[in-house]
Amino acid sequence: MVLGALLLCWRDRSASWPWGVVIAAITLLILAVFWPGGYAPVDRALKFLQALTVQAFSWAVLLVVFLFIFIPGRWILRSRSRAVFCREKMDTYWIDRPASSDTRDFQRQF
Amino acid sequence: MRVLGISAYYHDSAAALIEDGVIVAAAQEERFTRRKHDPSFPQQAVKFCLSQGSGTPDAVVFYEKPLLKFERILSTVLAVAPAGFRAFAAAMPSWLQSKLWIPFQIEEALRQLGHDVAGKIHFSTHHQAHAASAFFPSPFQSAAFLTLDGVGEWTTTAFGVGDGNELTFLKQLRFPDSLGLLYSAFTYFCGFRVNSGEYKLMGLAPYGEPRYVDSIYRELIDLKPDGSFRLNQRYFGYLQGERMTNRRFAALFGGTARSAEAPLTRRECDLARSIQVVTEEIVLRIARTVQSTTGAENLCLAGGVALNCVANGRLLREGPFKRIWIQPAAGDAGGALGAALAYVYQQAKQPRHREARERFDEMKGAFLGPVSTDDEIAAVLNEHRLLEFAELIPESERAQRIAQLLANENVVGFYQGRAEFGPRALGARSILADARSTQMQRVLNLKIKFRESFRPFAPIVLAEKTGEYFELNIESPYMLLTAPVRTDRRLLKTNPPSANRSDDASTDLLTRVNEQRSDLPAITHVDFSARIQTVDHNVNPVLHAVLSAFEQQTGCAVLINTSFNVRGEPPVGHPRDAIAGFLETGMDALAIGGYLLEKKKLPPSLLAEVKPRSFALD
Repeated sequence: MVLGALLLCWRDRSASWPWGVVIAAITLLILAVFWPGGYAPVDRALKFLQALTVQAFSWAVLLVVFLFIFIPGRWILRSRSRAVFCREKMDTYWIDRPASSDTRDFQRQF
Repeated sequence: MRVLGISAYYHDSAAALIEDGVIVAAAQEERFTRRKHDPSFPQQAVKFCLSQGSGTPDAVVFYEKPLLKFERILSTVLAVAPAGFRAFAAAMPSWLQSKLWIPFQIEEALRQLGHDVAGKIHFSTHHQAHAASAFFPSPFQSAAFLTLDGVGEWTTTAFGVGDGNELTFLKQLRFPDSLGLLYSAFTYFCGFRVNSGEYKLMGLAPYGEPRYVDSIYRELIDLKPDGSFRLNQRYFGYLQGERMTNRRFAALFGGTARSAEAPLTRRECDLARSIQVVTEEIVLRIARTVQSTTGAENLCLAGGVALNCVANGRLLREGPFKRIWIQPAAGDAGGALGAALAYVYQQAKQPRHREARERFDEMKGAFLGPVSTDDEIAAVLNEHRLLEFAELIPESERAQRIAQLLANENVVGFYQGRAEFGPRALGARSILADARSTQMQRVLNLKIKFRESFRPFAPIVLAEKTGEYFELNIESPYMLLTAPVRTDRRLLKTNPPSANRSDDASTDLLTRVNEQRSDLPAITHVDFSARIQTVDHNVNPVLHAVLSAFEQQTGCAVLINTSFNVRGEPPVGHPRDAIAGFLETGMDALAIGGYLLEKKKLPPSLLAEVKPRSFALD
């Protein structure tokens, strides 16, 4: 499987090589974790992976937040996003400041 | 009433203190930490400002509304998901750790300095701070104001009316449609650093031709006659957060972005010129709309785009306003000052009267930073074993001695009085040199500033003699206006056309930089423009005296004034930084307080110990 993934990297470098690397890495991870009985190189690899996991944990949390909140959020709030970021052509793009402008309230952070 | 303003956590963090309506002190954190555009909490700047006041502040005002900005960042990520994950991941740690807890951060920082400000933390909006920094210190009792920036919370451009102690906002443009971000996108694409290299792009523009203007109007921007515009986000990358521009942008302009330090080509020169032309057109159209909407005769400007002195010069010459005033700290550092001023006048309702003194603003020449006494300077000279070689010159002789050095084509470091607040060196932390010298531009660039050779130097001129050298009939005390060198001083009659230029612009730039275009070659740009600072006796008497003495000796009332720093560093702060700058570069003399050091009088053994200066890219 590792060889197959690396072959994929080699044959198709321009397009899908990152997936080859990902597949190879996951395969090695599975092998390292479930290798029967374990042995020294695997132990060292596991320690390395453990350190890596700690580093990666915060990134993973952010990724989960991102995937589970923002993608559905985007779908739910699609019309608002579209209004803000993909405005239609208009005669003028000036926006009036509301009479109750937030510049009067120095207490608020928003 | 004492009010402390703070700007932080984006770039150019700063603090400013107002006491009873008077600007007592203002400083940028970078001058203390030596980290250019330092965004961190301005602990040392706050400490300095409070040391100039008479007690604990009655209010502390932060220059933007953090939760509104947070909402804008989340909304942007939401709009482009999943593409914005990297930007999200990069931004969240700092937001979660500090930016969402600003009141606590400020309280803790001030507690460490012995001030209890619990419950006294307030927030202005970003453009309110810019508008307040533009209008309240201006010489006008009433005026229109215009803020042009990258982005604050949501607003990118705003205008309105200031009258007495009131600011009324009328119209705005909102993120992602931003003139500042458009200019920064081209800055990035031409290989300069965003929020730092914009002035380089402006300096590069006169070398190019505006051959991309049509492409910009056709593809990138929908510009209306009233100056409002919409950017075509298909060409930009800043919503996703990774890069300012994307592949479509590169395809439109014939290839990938220039990498930093790669040779400049015709394309970058032409891009610089094109975006400068577009920027000036937008600014002029907006100004006409502001004038027709408000009916005002005077205009106050702030925001990062207001540092574009070429656009400001055109606005002055071709715009609809009789007078314009630009906040010298127009960028985010000035937000600290603006936030404090907004609170003083809009919240505390302190009265504001300017009718009696319309000639002068309230910025004190922007000399609002730290000062060192001669005793403190002597102690630092002693640390460096330089005191025995330094002359303490009586004040009556000082200007003549410095002028004499300058007339002999020496480069003089000039460290005098309170430091400037804002990005420009205005004669307190400056390097001075003879503008008549044909070699001076090259010498300053390569031996002292260690920077690209294409960039012009700015002149200082006696305010009363400005018209003898430049086509400018008003004062420009903050070096925020360009104007042409007078026609009768020009040696070339036209700016040579670019048709014969090679694709690699580097050699072409060097050739053209060294052309003698006027009898002031070191400050005359290739289009005969100059970024002028007029020096008034009432605002900066020390520098005025040096210029007057130089004129007595040479008949010329103009000098080069460039910031006292080397590439990648902010202007010098402590006398120690000035002495290091003097020793480690090709500077010939240093006038620091009452002391004068000349390099030729230093023993070779002492100079041999000095390590040559290395510099960071900026």
